[in-house]
Amino acid sequence: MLFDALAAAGVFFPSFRMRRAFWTAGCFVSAAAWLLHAFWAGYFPMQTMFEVFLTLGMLLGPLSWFCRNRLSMNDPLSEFADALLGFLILFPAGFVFPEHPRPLPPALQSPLFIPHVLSYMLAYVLLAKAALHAAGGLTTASAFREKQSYRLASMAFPLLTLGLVLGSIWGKIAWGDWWSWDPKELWSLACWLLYLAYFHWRLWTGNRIIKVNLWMILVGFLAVLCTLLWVNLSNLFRGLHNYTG
Amino acid sequence: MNKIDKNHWRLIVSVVLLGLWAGLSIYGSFLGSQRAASFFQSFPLSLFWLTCLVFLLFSLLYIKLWTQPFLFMLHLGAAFVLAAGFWGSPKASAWRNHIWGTSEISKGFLFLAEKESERTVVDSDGRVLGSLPFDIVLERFTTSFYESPGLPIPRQYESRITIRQPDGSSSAYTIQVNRPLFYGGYLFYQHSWGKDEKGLYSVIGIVNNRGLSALLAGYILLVLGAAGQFWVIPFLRSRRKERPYSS
Repeated sequence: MLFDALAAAGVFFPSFRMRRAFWTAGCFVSAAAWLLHAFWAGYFPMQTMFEVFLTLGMLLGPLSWFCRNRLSMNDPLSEFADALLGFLILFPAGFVFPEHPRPLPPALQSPLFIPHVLSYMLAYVLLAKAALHAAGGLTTASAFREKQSYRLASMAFPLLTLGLVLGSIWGKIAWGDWWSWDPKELWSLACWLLYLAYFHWRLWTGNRIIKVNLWMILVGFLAVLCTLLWVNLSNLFRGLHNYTG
Repeated sequence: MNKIDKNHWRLIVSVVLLGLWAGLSIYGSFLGSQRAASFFQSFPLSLFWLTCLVFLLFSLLYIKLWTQPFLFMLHLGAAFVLAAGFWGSPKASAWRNHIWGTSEISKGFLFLAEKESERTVVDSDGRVLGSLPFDIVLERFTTSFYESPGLPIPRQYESRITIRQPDGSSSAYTIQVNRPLFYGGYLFYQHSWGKDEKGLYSVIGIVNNRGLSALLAGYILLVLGAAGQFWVIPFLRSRRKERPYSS
């Protein structure tokens, strides 16, 4: 987290090598922390909120590499967004959520646990990056930022779909129901539908109304934050997905 | 902004329906699972689902969609999922029983004590819903716990059962959490367990498998359609741009 914070601040440093060095070191340290925790817990760590945020931080490095090298997202805002995201993700893991692992309850002992949660983790990181690009493009209605946020949301959507589908199949196997109308399920569905509405809107209007496109990305990400944080942490929502703590 | 192309009315309706559906999902999340289930299975919402399904089916007739296979798969998959959801719902089950005179059970529970035979299915309040055409005997129920200093943390629950058919044949199965049994058109899963004066008892949930194949087919189409439309096609386009002169 410290390296990510320095990388975020380091965008102001003129030296590209220093910025990249801090960022790379941050990625390796978060990956190492993830591996250590996995070894300690004895399972793929995605059960508690600490483990979820640790995994998100671990995934940020490879996904950022992918975006830089395969999607050609090399601009300074992308670099700053990655570092800022690393800090924002790992701060709760480091200072907010308890780190002690818990044994897996019977409902989580499934081969679908890893693919279901991992799909969502990958999608959430990409959607967070899309939201940062959208936020960055709001003031100037930048067509470039709009396109970047669209490309990132497009990469994330199949993962969001896969996570939703695997969750439903897992629900059938574990609880007998494809759909239990659980708050987490409903919020996950809302996220999927909001991004689906965005893609339909963009198919209709293209990038003629850039600010609306950017706001739709941000609204979708707000739903993601509610799904990931509000539903898990608030007493307003009681359901089958309260494994996190 | 240019005038709205009348051929794009489908997209406008899609955005409206999807936004409305998202809003209803968010509203439902505040109701809790049981109230949300009643809300979403109410008559007005059933009309909404039907509207979405009909609109999806009409969209499949849109000729431009036929030239985009992955988009077609996405729409077809969504239609399958909605239709299968209707067909497998408790309401549809009640209609089938009423219209065809069947005694199909949509969802219920079996409370099994060890060495006792049971075929009566009840709901969560203990009301009798019906009977299975075979007996289930709980041979053995075991629970295991993690070693922990505080309250015991469950590791696994396991019900070893024998299913006895009226013709005398029987077969043995094991049901655990995440390892259900598919038998006789139903899914039997380990729901919970309890203890009374007679000892431990296992609660086996039972759900019918109506719409199972269509739902799975819909899910496969959705995932493949999404991956194709958002990953494969952009990748192929970028390759074509890199090699503009390739034959």
